[in-house]
Amino acid sequence: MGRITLDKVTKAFGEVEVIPPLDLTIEDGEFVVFVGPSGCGKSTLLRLIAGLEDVTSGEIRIDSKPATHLPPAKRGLAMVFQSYALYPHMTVRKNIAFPMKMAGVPEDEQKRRIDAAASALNLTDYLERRPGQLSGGQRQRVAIGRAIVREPAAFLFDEPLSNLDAALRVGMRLEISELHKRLETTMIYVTHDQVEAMTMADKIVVLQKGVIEQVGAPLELYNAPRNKFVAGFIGSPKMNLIEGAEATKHDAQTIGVRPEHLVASTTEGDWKGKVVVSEHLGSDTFLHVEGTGLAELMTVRVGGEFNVNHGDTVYLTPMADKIHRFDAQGLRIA
Amino acid sequence: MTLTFRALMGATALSAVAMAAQAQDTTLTIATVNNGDMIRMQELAGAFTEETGIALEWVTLEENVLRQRVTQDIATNGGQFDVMTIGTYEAPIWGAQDWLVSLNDLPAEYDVDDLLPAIRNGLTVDGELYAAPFYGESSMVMYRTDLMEAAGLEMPDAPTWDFIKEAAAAMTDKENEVYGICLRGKAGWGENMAFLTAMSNSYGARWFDENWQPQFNTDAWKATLTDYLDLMNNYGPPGASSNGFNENLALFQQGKCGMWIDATVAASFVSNPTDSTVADQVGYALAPDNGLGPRGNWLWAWNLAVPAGSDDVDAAKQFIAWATSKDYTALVAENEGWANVPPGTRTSLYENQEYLDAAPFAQMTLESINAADPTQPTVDPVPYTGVQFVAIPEFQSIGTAVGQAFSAALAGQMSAEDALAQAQALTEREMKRAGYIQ
Amino acid sequence: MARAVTTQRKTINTVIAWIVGFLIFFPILWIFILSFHTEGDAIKHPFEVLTSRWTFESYATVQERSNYFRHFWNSVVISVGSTVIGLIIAVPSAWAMAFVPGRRTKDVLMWMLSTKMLPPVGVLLPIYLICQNLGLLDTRVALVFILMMINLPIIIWMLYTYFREIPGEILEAARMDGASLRNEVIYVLLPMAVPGIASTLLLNIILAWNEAFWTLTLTAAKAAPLTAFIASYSSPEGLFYAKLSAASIMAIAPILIMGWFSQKQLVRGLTFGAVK
Ligand SMILES: Nc1ncnc2c1ncn2[C@@H]1O[C@H](COP(=O)(O)OP(=O)(O)OP(=O)(O)O)[C@@H](O)[C@H]1O
Ligand SMILES: [Mg+2]
Repeated sequence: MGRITLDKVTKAFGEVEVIPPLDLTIEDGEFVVFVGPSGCGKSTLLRLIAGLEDVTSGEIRIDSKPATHLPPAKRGLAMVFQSYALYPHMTVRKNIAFPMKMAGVPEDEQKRRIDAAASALNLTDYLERRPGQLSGGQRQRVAIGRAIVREPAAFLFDEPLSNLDAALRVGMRLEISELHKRLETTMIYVTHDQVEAMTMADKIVVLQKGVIEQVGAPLELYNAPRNKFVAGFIGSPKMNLIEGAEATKHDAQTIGVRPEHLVASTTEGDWKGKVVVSEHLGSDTFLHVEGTGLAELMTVRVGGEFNVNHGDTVYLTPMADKIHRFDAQGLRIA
Repeated sequence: MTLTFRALMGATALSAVAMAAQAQDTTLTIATVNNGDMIRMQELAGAFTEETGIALEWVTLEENVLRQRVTQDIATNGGQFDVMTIGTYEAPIWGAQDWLVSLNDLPAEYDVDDLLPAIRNGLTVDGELYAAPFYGESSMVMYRTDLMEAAGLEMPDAPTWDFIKEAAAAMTDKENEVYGICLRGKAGWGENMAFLTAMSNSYGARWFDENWQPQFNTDAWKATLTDYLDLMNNYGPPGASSNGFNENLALFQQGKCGMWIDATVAASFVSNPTDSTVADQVGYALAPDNGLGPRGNWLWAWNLAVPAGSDDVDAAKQFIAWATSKDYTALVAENEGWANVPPGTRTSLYENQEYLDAAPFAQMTLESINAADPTQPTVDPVPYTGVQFVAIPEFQSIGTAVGQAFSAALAGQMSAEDALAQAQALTEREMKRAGYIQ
Repeated sequence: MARAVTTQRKTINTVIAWIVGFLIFFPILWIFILSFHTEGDAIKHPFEVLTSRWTFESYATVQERSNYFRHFWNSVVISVGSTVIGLIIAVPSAWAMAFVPGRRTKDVLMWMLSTKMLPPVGVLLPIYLICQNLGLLDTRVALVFILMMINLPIIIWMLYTYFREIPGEILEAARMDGASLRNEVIYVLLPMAVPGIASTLLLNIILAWNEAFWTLTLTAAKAAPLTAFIASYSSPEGLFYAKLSAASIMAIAPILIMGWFSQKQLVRGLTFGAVK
């Protein structure tokens, strides 16, 4: 139903090539997340799939049918925008009904789908309001409702939660995940947020400057990042990257150890340093350590009860089997 | 059966009548200016439509707009108008261009020979009458009898310019806002230049000699302009360089002018007690002269003409014959009184005692009109016709440009000598450009 | 202290604004006053005008002499017709320039504006002759068409600025929702642009209503709008201020009333259902 294939797709704005030739296949029913630093081309890629931008070259196929030159209306995809992009002059009901009206869905069927979507999204009481009279979370749900009722081949989300506060974001994240489980429709989701990417995705696509650095399941990327960039990008806080003599010991140009894979002690260990800051999150504490001679700052995760202060000396020891090794090109050494 | 038959017959008869009415359904579009006599004609024209079945559409425009619209229409053969109101300036020019339909074949009862010769001559080119005069006017002196008496002077019927100067000086009382003389000062070929050209005729000046050489460098023009400026600067109202007919009329009606030399139609306004505060104290005299022959009065008529592009020439002629006839005069007299009939076109009107009784200024108007001869307006011979204008197409722009120079002189922005030099130079340039002179 | 200064400033600004407003409005007020006096009173000293008798005489004369309703109807047809047709052409043009700008869009916009810099009399003769050849002199069709052409640059410019304020994502959302270009414009763009379109409509009707050059030169009897009606009361010889004033008041009254009412509409349209 919703298999999307990109074949040597490129995009240039004038002289600037934003997406060099790119291949990607998204399987039917998959939840795919695009991540990458700001300006790397996530939105552009999404808009190419949506048809809101024309590809410069290459092929896009939806359900193995060529879609490269189809207008957005004909691609059978639904999109949820960061700014919600609701129609301000229509009530919530009319907003949700709009795509069905365009598709010529009969009135009673429209009503049925609106009611279903509204109850699923907790919007039943707001159907007669206008977008201007809703909160941010409610607006986002209306935008999702508007996407659902079309029964699209795939949903496209461009940072849909970034305008919401943290608590709401968690709630909406779960709702979208549930929605995906229920509908089993392909979803492509663009985000900045590590947690969103790790928790929601079946498959994560890491982009840098329009190039796909790695595609894989969240844990695959976490456990076996293909290169230094992915290693640094996936996981929070960031992986500690160490060069020099210590790396050479492991026959590598660079080695990487995640904060959660360092063991800290006040008495003994491999590397000695001084605590600069300790961030107490309750369940966990993150220590930022300097003076190890390995990297400027090392981050380490310790239990909530591990009690050190600014200036205290700590010893760090990496777990032997959790050390990632990278060669001179930054590629992973297996 | 019979009923149906009758109804059918009735319907047939009705449609036959309707057809007949349609066949007669001619509509004339008439372009005209907004003045009292023309408006009155619009009101009375119902009688014409009733009589002939010819419907009339009126397009009333301000004089300058009308001139522009009508020129445009006639020059492009636009055919928007069937009858147009044109001045004595346009009539000979357009007639010579064959833009107008000749009116020589008006019916005998129209009595062409009754038209005042001075007016008729101005509308005739090579023996063809191209427009019928609707009303005619000249200019004359209107003065305040009470102020004249207080000054210890008596206005002769035919004053000289010297007398005018003397009287203006005697009547002026600036403290009480009484100015001895009000004259046109606003720039324009039909504004200050109408007055000044007529005045210059009585000073022995002329626009061009027989070879179309401009004559502003002559002593006669210098005397004309100097006297005009002296009169206005010493005895005229402030801001006179922007005064035209209406401004001076307002001043006179409010008792601020001792004398006013302007169109004869003004007489009916200044003597009308509802608008004028000095209605009882107005006297009339011929425009002044310098004993050289011509007097300083002009000759103007608004005339009706048929443009060559009209598609209803016969109906248009029928209308013109009606609107400028003796019968029309009688119709106005019957409805509105003799004082309101359009003046200045027919000899018979001035032989009508009823009219002479009702219009105290009638005799003066007739004499003023007769005193002007558009075919020989000046002391020395000229190659053109026209009393206060030169009947050539270029005159509108030249006249206005010269008028601006003279108006500037009145406003004190340049001297009389400079204004004349400028007038001479620009007229020479334009006449060269137009090919009259080398 | 600082507060006192700003209050003082405010007062001064208010007073200045009122004075400027009054100066702008004064000629209309004076025309209004003159229209209620006799011709004789109307040329008196301003203070005397105010104290002299008020009368409907001029209105009665004007009413009697001209077919006001015919001129009025011509004005309505010409101004509304030209504006509506202009809008029908301008909406797609402005849409294209606002949402799919090309490299030359700015130049095209400037070029359109530059046509307004040409004095109309410069094209009088060709247009007059074209109308004459097509038999369109003194027809409302000709004026609707010409005034539409004259105001088109302004209509497009105004719509363009209004459209640019509409977030493009909303139109993209409509496209994603399956709307054809036509539906996108009809169901999404136009309703959102209603206040802008309303003010464009209003302004252009006023401009067309007051247009006096073409309406005077291209009409005679049949298609003459209210501008010609006013012009017919001007006179070179004779008093006409009161009647001219009455005619002017009668000519501007409909548009003044319309402006007054739609102004309220406009403000409501602007504050209703704010976006985001
Ligand atoms: N219409 C455009 N014209 C020119 N350049 C563009 C255009 N749209 C995007 N770009 C450029 O393309 C690159 C990718 O932009 P894109 O919006 O896809 O980034 P992104 O990954 O979505 O970033 P963010 O996370 O900040 O939203 C950027 O360098 C941007 O400047
Ligand atoms: Mg983006």
